Amino acid sequence: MVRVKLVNVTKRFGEVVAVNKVNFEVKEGELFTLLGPSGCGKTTTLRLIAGFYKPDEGEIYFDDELMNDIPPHKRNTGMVFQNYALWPHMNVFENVAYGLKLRNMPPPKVIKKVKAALELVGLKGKAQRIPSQLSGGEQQRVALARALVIEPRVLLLDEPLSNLDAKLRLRVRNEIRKLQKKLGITTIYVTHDQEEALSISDRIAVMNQGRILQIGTPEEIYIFPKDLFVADFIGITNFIPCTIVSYDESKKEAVVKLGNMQLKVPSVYNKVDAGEEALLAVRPENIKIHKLEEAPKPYLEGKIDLVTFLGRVIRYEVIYDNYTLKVEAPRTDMRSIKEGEKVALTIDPLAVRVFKANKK
Amino acid sequence: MMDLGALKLRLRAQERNFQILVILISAILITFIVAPILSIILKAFITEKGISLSNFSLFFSNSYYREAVYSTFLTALFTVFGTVAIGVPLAYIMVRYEFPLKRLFSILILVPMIMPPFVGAIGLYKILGINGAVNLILVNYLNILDKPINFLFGTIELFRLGPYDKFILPYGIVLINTIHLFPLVYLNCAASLANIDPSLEEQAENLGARGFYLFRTVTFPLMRPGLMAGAVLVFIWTFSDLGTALIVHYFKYLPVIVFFKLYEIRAGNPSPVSYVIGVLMIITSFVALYISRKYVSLKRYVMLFAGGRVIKKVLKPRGVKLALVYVGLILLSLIALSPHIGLTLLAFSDKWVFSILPEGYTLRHMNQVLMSSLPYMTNSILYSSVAAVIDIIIGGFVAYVVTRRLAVGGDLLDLVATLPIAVPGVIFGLGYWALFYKVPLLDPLRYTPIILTISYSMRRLPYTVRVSYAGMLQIDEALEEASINLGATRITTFRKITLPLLVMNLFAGGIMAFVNAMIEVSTTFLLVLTARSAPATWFLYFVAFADPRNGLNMASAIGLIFVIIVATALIVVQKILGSRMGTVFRL
Repeated sequence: MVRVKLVNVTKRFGEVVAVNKVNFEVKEGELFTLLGPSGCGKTTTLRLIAGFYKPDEGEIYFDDELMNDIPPHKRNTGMVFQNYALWPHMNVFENVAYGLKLRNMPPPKVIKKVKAALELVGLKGKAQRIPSQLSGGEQQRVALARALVIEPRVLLLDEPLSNLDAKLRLRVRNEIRKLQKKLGITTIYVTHDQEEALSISDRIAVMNQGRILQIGTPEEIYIFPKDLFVADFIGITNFIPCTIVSYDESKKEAVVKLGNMQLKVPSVYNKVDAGEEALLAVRPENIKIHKLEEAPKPYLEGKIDLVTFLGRVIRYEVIYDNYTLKVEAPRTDMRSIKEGEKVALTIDPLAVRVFKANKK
Repeated sequence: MMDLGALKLRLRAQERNFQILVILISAILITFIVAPILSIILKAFITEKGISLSNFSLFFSNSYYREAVYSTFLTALFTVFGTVAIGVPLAYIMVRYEFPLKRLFSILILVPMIMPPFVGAIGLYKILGINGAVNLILVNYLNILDKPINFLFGTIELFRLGPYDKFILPYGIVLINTIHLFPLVYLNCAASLANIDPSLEEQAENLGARGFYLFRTVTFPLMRPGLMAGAVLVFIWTFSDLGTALIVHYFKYLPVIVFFKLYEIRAGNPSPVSYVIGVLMIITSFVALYISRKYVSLKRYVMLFAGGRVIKKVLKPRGVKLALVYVGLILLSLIALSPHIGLTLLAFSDKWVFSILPEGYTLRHMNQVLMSSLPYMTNSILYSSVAAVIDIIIGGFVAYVVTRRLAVGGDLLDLVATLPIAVPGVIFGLGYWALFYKVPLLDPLRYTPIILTISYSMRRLPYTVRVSYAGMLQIDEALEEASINLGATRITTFRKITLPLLVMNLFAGGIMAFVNAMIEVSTTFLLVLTARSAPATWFLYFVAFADPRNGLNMASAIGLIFVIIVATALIVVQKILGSRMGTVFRL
């Protein structure tokens, strides 16, 4: 088990800066996720750690050992590729044994270890199958076993679930998490799926356009996004223009004006000035809908445009001042609110974030 | 209001016409591809005593024939070795390495494909011949050798079985065919290699593999489908190559025996020996084809991977490695170009004896040939273009029916239509004699142009089938369904929607068929027994040996005209198909 540390790592492809001054440290035994839209540089970062690319600037460390000039075949990382990369001309056993043979392990020990690895991922008795005879989920597990069997210093997973169907994805996701905890192996996980990232990670680094925007636990990332992009990318967020009334930089607190409401908002990380137009971000579950006559003041007046039944919750689309806001209420909260009806909206100021508007 | 009843009737009639068309095309393919093969097999086994193996025992009791079998196999085998030895590293370099002038080399190494080997052999006379440039340099200038090597006509006895059975390798044929056919192995290997998902190799690297170990355990096994396909094509080609053996005067060669025995058919007495050889060739081709098909499932799997970025692995060699790449490619390009250089020099040389280059140049041969070869050239172009048109019609139709699953047994139709890629030309020639001798309109003796055109079109059908198949896969079926949904019949839909989208592919496939019909040797030599209505390949061979003084020069001049026509056609195809051009050379 190792710590993985990236210091100011930059990678360019021609004119394009794929990875831009990236810094992070993955702790021993941690599951660390690189999350971002496609083309954000997350896979490039992973491949830099695996050694398939050399950084143009910066350093990569495993513990205190500088890895920059170590070729990929000497890094002892176990990588699981997005498409599993199982060799079609070898059976399951040969696929998994490949790395062990390269380590000059005596055959009896190879057999023992491969068997153990296949058992670990629940593929006992499938050693003689060839990859094309396996289901997607099984292929995925062969790839995992092949990466784990060499006892790598760090496990690298590149979108390992993207080729599985939705139900299987949930199951394998949990299996990977349990296995990772059981083995206590340092793991770097790449995904574009924010829900997957939130559910599986110890910590997440959100990336966009080659930069890391925020690193934090899933809770931190979801509740306290430090950046407009992070707030937009993780979950569903409403953005409403508002005006800054005052800003207290030491407390990171701002008072903003929205319609006839004044809200005192905590955790404002962007520096904003009084009188400035800013963006208020609020998640659908943090807006409450009231009948006009029952509403506590102050409130925003809106008109229901669409009511969607989603099972667990009801989603409302409410028109407020030319903006369509998404609002979610639990099903039990179901009242006779109809499309076209005028309603009052209230917002919990503690659940609101404020960002500088010119960033988007 | 539209009369729905009448519309329904019309639709049904059109659907019926369509089915009739399927049956008609199937009948044509069976008559001209399957039946000739079957008739050869039948005639080999049926004797006066009924069904027996007596023809075979007769054949194998003759040591001359036995040695011809050995020679032909050995030649094909060694040609495979030669082409693989060049093609595999070449594919690796061209796919994986990036270096200046790569595009130029990628064109140069394909130059051998635009000439039939036997024409190339003539071009090589003055380069690799006993008094050719290479021998002159080696013996007279560099003094490396005491006496010249007979590169083209030479043979070597590899070993001997018992007192009579000599295993003779005519290495001249091996050399000529290797020079001409290595692009087949190269193209197939390169296609396989380019299709390998880079993550398959990266995974091996990730687990600790590198260098030759990585190549041996992962890269090479994954490019084997292409290697096998290329090797099989080379094997079948060499095994049935009549022209080269004739040019280098090596007659203990199966296709040559069939060729000479045909004169017996003319006398109304077909030789059972030819049919036995035919059966041997059919079995060999089919076994070879079967072996290569075993690797297709692997090929599919390698290419099946969805998702993931494909980052092509491109290496930039430097220093010694780069120098070695250049030396290898320059040498190879020289070898690849040598038949063409030789042919051009011969065509314009005035006097060329015991010198590296001709002593003088003249337009005499070209002038002479331009006039005398004109009718033959016209014949060639006429037969080949009619054949190409037939191929476009049948090929497009088959690809349409197969990709859209419109007829029962469509896969079988596809199999039959692409079969000729693996069936030697000799088989077509022989089978057509066996089946159509004395048949009105099809008798090779009396209706040579008709049967020759048919043979060309059947031989080259796979080109149009392949290319249109590839084209069809790119046309979304929904485009057609939308048309049918709006009330068009299948035939109208094909005419108005599919055909316009497919037309460039069909055209390219047609030109490929035309080019290869132009350079077709085996069927030409077997089906054309007199100068009357003969095509230019036949005339070229005739001229080369009819005039002992200027024959080679004149033949070269004809060959050069040929190369120019063929090269022009290929450039057109390249412009149309671009990078997809490779598909037509693959199994």
